[in-house]
Amino acid sequence: MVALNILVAYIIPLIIGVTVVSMAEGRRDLFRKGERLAIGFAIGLGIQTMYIFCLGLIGIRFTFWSCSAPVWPAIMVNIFWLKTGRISLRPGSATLLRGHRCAGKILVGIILLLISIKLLINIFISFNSPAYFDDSITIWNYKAKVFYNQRGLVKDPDHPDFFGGNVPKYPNGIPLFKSWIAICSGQWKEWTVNTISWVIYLLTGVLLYYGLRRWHSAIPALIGAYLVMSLPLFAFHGAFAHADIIVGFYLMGGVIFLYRWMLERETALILISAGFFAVAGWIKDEGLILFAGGALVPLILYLILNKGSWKRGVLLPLTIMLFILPWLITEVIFQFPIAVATGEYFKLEFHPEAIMIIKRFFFNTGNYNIFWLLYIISLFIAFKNGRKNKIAYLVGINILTLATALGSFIFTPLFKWLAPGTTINRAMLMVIPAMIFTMMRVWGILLEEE
Amino acid sequence: MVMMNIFRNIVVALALLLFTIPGLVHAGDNEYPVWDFKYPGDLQGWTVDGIRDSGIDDGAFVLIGEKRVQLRFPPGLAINSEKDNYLRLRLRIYSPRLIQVFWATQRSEKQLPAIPFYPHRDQHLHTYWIDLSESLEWIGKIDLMGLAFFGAPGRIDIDSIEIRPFSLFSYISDQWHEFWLPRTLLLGTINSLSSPYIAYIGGWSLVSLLNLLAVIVLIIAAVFYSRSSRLSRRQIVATVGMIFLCLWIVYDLRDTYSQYKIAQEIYHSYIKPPPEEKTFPALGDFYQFVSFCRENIPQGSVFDIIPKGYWPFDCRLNYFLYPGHYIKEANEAYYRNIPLYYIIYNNPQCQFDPGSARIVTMERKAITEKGKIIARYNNNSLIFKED
Repeated sequence: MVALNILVAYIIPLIIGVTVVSMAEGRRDLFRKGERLAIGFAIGLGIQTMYIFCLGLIGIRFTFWSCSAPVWPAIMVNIFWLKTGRISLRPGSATLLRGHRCAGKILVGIILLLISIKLLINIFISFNSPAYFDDSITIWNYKAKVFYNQRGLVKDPDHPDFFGGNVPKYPNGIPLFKSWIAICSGQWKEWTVNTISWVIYLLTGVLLYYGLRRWHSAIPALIGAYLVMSLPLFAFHGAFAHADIIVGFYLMGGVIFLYRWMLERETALILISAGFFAVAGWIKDEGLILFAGGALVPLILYLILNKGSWKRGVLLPLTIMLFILPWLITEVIFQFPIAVATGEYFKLEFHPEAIMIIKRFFFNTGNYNIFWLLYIISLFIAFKNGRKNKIAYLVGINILTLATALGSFIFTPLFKWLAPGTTINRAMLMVIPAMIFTMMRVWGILLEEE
Repeated sequence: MVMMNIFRNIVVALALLLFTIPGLVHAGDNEYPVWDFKYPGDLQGWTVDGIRDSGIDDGAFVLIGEKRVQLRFPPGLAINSEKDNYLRLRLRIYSPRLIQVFWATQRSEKQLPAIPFYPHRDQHLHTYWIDLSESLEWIGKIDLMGLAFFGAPGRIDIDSIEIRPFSLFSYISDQWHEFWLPRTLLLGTINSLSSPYIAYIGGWSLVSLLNLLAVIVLIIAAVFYSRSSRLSRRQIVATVGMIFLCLWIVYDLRDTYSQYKIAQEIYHSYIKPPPEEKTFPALGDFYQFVSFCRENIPQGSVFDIIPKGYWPFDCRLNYFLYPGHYIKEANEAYYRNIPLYYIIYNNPQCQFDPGSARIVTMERKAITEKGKIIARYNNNSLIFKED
């Protein structure tokens, strides 16, 4: 019964999201079926939690019926589309194992096996252990538990449960989704609310696969999915209730669809990219900061160099602002500090010793396998092919996002958090999924060229 | 230069392996000093400074450090420095960051400059081979030897100590064992994962070694690429890509094994045992204590934890006992005049004083108002309620 309730908790945002994606898509078939489901759930999670947040702001109690209200019109729309034949319930065609030679099939089999083992281990750990690490205990799960027990938002600043009790200034996307799962299952169970971690872990692989599949055959796409899902620290986080890989997933989605928009100029793509970036900011403040630091400049450059795309280009920041508006207003009204770090960290100071520490983390610890070396090699290849397929924009976004993340450790007093390694590697989890997409795209293009 | 060193190490290691295979007899004839601390009598002659307690536990010499711990081997060692020039240590460290080996020769008669090394602190027993002949002072007959532990004092478990000649077989066997040591699930593991070490080729971690291999592959491929026709370039790119993927998979397999061992550890300590025996990595019996608190503190009560800021348990009790509230500076005013529950968990520093009916520190300083013990979990864990 609990399993069924959890399924409902996931299907409702999925329906909401898929409907919104289909609306944006119109009659153009921009996505494969599996891809549409992955995007739909990701966007739906954002829409539904922001909707629940708005309910809380106006003082409506969180119940299954109040929180699930947006799904009913979405279901009606889908029934109408089914009748008119705009959508169908036929499953998409599975192309993963088709059309390869024997060696290809073996490779696909090995990769699928490796991914499955990792996923199963993560599901096992997630199902069988309570929230374990500090941030889950003090932020993500704590706030969710407060929202669930209060069945709403406490807006009295003197109340201990004010905006979730602990760190009220943190965005509430994940805590609200966890409390939504608890509402659906009718009880607070650790294993149910923590399912989101491994679901997003899996979806990162799925989205990356489909993202690459647009241009490449199944094998490189699957290798890309495998690389992200087997990045050691990323895989480890997939078992525990932290939010860094969730931000990484959303930023990656934002980058993939922004890049696709640059190539295909379909309005739906930039709207979906905006949706991903916006939800990243609704999960953690870093989501918006990394978007602003990484994607804005390449976007502006693209708009300058490609006249006539301004109208659609500005849809990106506009949609993000529109989505995040209720939270921004809340931050202003309740005077939450908008920045991630406090004022004492807003100082420019150069820490050259940071470079060696970062090098040690990147190349000598077990967090990243050999990712950084492979990415550097890909950069050299990208220099050769940068102008083709607009790879330069993709690399530009990656480098600027990385510079934003690393810069804060090298050029501000945040350096003091670098040496103990408490945040740097987790910050990289937000950046790396999009970099793996770029890396695989670069290698794919090189192979096609040669 | 670094690459040359690595190659040299590999070649030397392989050559030594070939030469020593016929004579792979463990020097366990004990012609060199060995201590394996199986029985309390094995501690005879050892002197230790800076400890609160020591003894034999589970086949290991356990030291509970209070200040800087210094351990001296039994007197009259008379070690032949030419023959026995390696210190093989098997120990588990919880707190100290640095260990120094020191000694005195018959000639010098005073303590000599030490060889320092950094131990792993992941709650596993690790084996270290310290090449004593690195020091020019390792000469003649050695009379006195010892270990000094620097950094925060804490528990040290010494499983065995040997002063012995080098044996490639034992060395490789130890490193193989080290390579497969499972990853420890600690509260900081979420921030960074360590890579397994392959110490016998230059103390490199597996991941650095794979990075190096990838660079070598790249250099070779670049040479071939620049000299090849357009047709075979595609093959070179594909081959290099596949080699990189294989290197990635090598590390991934080892990492998946680590993740599997964590799942196994959770299964054996938390899932399989009955409720009264459940423990969790790095938290011990904390979840049993949470159940105990839930049984004894009414839901929604206000509680405090002694001492305040008792990481990692304060934030966890705050979470697991919600809707009970942990009283903090921020919400103190809100809960004024509400009777408080006090939670003490595994803290011998604060105890209930029956005379004053208060919780007091070791220095008899009262922490609470008058009240009574609601329930006791163990000698050092209880729930107290103010009147």
